[in-house]
Amino acid sequence: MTEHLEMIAYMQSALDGALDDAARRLLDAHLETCALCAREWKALHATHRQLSSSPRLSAGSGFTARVLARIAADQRRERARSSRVYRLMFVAVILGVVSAVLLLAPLAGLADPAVWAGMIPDTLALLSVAAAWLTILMTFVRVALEAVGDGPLLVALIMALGLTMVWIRLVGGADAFKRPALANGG
Amino acid sequence: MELVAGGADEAAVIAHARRGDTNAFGRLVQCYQSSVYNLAFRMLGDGSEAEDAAQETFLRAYRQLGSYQPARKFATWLLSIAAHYCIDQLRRARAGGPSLDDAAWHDTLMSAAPEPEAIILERERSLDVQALLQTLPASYRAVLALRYWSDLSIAEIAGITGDSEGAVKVKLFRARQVLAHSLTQDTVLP
Repeated sequence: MTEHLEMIAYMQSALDGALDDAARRLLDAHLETCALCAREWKALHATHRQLSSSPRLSAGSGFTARVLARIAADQRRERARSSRVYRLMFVAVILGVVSAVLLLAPLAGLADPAVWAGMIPDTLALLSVAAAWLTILMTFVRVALEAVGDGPLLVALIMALGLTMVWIRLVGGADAFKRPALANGG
Repeated sequence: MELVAGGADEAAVIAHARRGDTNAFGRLVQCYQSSVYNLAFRMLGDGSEAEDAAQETFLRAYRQLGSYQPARKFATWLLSIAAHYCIDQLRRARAGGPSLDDAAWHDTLMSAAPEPEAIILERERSLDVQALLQTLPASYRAVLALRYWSDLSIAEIAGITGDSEGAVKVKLFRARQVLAHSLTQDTVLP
């Protein structure tokens, strides 16, 4: 059995042109005495011949032109996409600046707390501003993500919600707003 | 001037193509279209799908030229893209078998046999082989196609499929055995 397996391995090597002379002699000698292997060799060799003689095909005339046309169309699409990405990045930067100002202004003392307190007199107003802030943030994150790739909406929503919660906590919890705003609201 | 696969000026043409010269890339397409198309046809078994796969291969190659390592044989790199694309296509479980009556087949035969009878006989034999190829798993088909229609060595095939050389030999062995048994079922061997 082992000899048969070894001979079948020799047959494969012979078909690949990788059988040395000594092994070839062993194979030939075995094939003369073993009908089973001789039949296997005949079938394998015939298959190999048939595969080897099976004709090569051509892609047909005009193939190169078709490929180049496809490349040109692909390049046009890529240019259009790049242009869209630049526009989206521009919008993202604007929205990012607005978001940053909204987030930082009340915290960094960039605005008079009294003004903010007047703009956000109660909890309802705080939530309204928070909703607007959430919308801006959502848009910003979506646009930013779309600019760098496919922007998943869920990621944008989670990030914006997280930042909005932080903003509500910071603004609603700041002393300047807390007393007049939340006192009036409830 | 026609580009010769693996020839001395191939590196220069590739370098031009990498810089965005589509004419240079066109020369590469011209040079390798037969290898890529044959691999795709032997794997997919359909003329129009093979044409589409070959086009897609060159498109991907053009996009990825920047990542091509000049130390690697260009043919191997290109056929690797083609083989993986075809395997992906086959994995999408195409419904229906190969189109053996593809009219384009007759026109695209590169056999130089001048006699119509010889052409027809050759075609029938090829169709037998092609029909049998479609019964093999995709990875076996790829190995056979690369061995017989791209004339690649075991080592080069291993480089393309990502298998070890031993695994390629085993696949070749099994594929040949399956084909041999199928072919000998209905035909009398010479």
